[in-house]
Amino acid sequence: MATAYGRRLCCDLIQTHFGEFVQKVVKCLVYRGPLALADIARFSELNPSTLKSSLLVLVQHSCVQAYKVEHEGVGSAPPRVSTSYVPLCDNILHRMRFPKFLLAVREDLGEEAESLVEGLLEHGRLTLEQITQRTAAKAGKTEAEVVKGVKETFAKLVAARFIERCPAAEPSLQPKDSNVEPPKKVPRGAAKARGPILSAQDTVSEVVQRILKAAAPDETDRFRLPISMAGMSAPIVDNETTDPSSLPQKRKFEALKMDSKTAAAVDEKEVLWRVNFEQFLRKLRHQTCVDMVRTRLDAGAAIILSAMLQATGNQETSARQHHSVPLSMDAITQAVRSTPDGQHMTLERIRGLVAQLASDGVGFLAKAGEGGNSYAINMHNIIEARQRNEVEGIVLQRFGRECCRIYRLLAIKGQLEQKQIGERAMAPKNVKELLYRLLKEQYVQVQEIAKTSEHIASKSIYLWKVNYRAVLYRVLDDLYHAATNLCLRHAHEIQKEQEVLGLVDQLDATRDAGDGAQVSHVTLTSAQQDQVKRISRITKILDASLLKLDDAILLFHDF
Amino acid sequence: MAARGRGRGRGRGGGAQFLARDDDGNLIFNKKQEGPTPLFPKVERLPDLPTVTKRDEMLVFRRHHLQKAWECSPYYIEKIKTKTEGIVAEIDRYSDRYRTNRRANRVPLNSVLKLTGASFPVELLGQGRGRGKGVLPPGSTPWVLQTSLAKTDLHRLDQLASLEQRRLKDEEKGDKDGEEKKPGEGDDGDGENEEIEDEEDEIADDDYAQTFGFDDDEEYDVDDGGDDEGPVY
Repeated sequence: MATAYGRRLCCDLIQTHFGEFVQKVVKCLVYRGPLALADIARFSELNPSTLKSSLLVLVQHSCVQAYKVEHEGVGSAPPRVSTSYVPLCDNILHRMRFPKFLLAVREDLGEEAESLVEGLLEHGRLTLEQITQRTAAKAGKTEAEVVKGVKETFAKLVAARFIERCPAAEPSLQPKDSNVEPPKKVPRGAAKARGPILSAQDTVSEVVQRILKAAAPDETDRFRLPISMAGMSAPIVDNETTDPSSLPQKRKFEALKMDSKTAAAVDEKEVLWRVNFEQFLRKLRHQTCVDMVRTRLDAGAAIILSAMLQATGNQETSARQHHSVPLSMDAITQAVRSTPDGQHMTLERIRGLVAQLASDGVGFLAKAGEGGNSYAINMHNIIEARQRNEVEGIVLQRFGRECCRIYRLLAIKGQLEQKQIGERAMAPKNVKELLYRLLKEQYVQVQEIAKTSEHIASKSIYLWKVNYRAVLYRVLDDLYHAATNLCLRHAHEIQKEQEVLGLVDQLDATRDAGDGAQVSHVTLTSAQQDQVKRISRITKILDASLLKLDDAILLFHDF
Repeated sequence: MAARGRGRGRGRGGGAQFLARDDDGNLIFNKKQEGPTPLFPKVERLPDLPTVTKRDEMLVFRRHHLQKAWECSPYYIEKIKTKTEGIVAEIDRYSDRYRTNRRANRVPLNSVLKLTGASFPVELLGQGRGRGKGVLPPGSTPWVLQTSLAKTDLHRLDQLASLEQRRLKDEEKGDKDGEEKKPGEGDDGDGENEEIEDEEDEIADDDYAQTFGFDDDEEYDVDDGGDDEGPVY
């Protein structure tokens, strides 16, 4: 669900990362939906070789996914297959949060793992061989020296699911799946409430989901280590290019007998790996849950929750899982005691905290299993509570305390008349003005119920309500807008100080060239030094703000 | 005189096209349109500046690092501004001596990508391979550029740290080093100029190929002839 400003942000990000030409391609795809190569060429007006390079870059960085569509032949013409490209907006937006991914992996697995993931983020997709080459070149050593360390780190990363094998380049889709979406049967009322934009967005994202599903390797294959690392006991010898199911039994047997060295070499040199964004999102989501519980309840409850998340995290199947796997009380105790913070907790305290988390007013844990002995984490509830808090905070900051009171009242009570709102929210005098301010920014909606067929205003009833889904959409769009503005401002500030930045570049160049005689060619005046100081402070603040804003975008879009 | 002028103006205003004129009959343009609207107008109530924690600084540092790596990588596709016109190209400027040319040594895209059907859509693979342009000079790897860049970054930071101790002034430059460099500086790499020209040749070829075999006119003529003959009996 990329909003209008979300799309713009996608284009801006690509422009800063890969330049203008690649941005043009992304712009076409993001605004027009899935397109074939010829169409992209027509709309973007790029020359064929630049266009192809741009698409290669985008595919390499998982920003675009290609898929094959089979068109039925007309008349006597045979059916033909064409390739289309679909933009993966979520992946493009993830590029903003790469620094967070790097810090997360550093906290979990250490510096070597971070540098390996950094390589993958820089290059999009690499083979194990390329990863080794890169590490060796960075460390200034030979490949043989580093290969052992790299493989160990690599295995750790795969085990933690931080990296995965790349999906298929061109999965095939049946015609009915791709472009022509059959209209979904939705009850009339529901369709009306959601509005046309949201449902249109959903169908596009559904198509994207289907394509991604078709491209993804199956679960066991996705995190399978290369043969050389998995040991000779690996049950299947890798044969990427041939489909094992179509082979006769005899050939399969021969394939098994293939020289293991060759197979290992192929696996290392040909199989591409990339960063598994889903796992990183899951980790960030868990952190948000723990933070929320810490602010809402206390540090003890946060320890319990984080221990439970750690114990159940591996069994989560999707990035937006609603409930975790249920854990029995014994398992919870064991998990809590194994963490450094919780090892001294008594059983009574753990029981008390779990009961508190599961109480009706909170609802962060749900009872499950027979007799209600097990508990599952209701992550959906936690995230929703966090989102509500954020929205109320935004309303409070933008419109003031009285508006926030009205917003909360409407959110709890549903539909109310203006007079009722004035009485209950303790703002009878200026309630109209406050409501109209909220209406203008689309945080509340008004519905007219006419008593007469002429729709006379004085004889109609006007009901005010909060459409939470629409508010969430609105907030997300505002967040994207803010992020776009931050990016623009950043570019503008840099542009403004171009001259002095050029001087600094020259200084660097002379310094790099040698510490010898040329150092004195360029100097900065004190005014210029002030300028440099100023620009560095501004960019730092802008960058930090963008990263903080991204936390909110993650909360409203990805969790 | 002035009164008459105004009167004329009003008279015209009633017509279909209203054009504001001054006393001499010259057109008056709306003053507001003269300049562009300010890009970033003053905000009256600014929120507090965010506090930048140590963690934020680590994040910002990584952000710059990645950004710089992408900018210098083969994935950054740009048109190189060439000064091929006239004398300008031949003049060796003093200022060019110290200009940093960060992207002149960009490695070709296909030295990093695994251009096989399993990794990329087949229709994209045609170019790059056959051209022979993307062949890496012997003895160099695509990772070397990256590393040299990364190294200079770290190297610079180290230098800054030492300079910080020596002089306060240099510390400011040091802060700058960590900052982002603007795209668009020093774009004139010799090696890439050739490539651009080649690409342009290619477009021409391709365009020709696309419009070739497009025989609308002929068919039209044939149809026409048929129609004309129709009524003659």
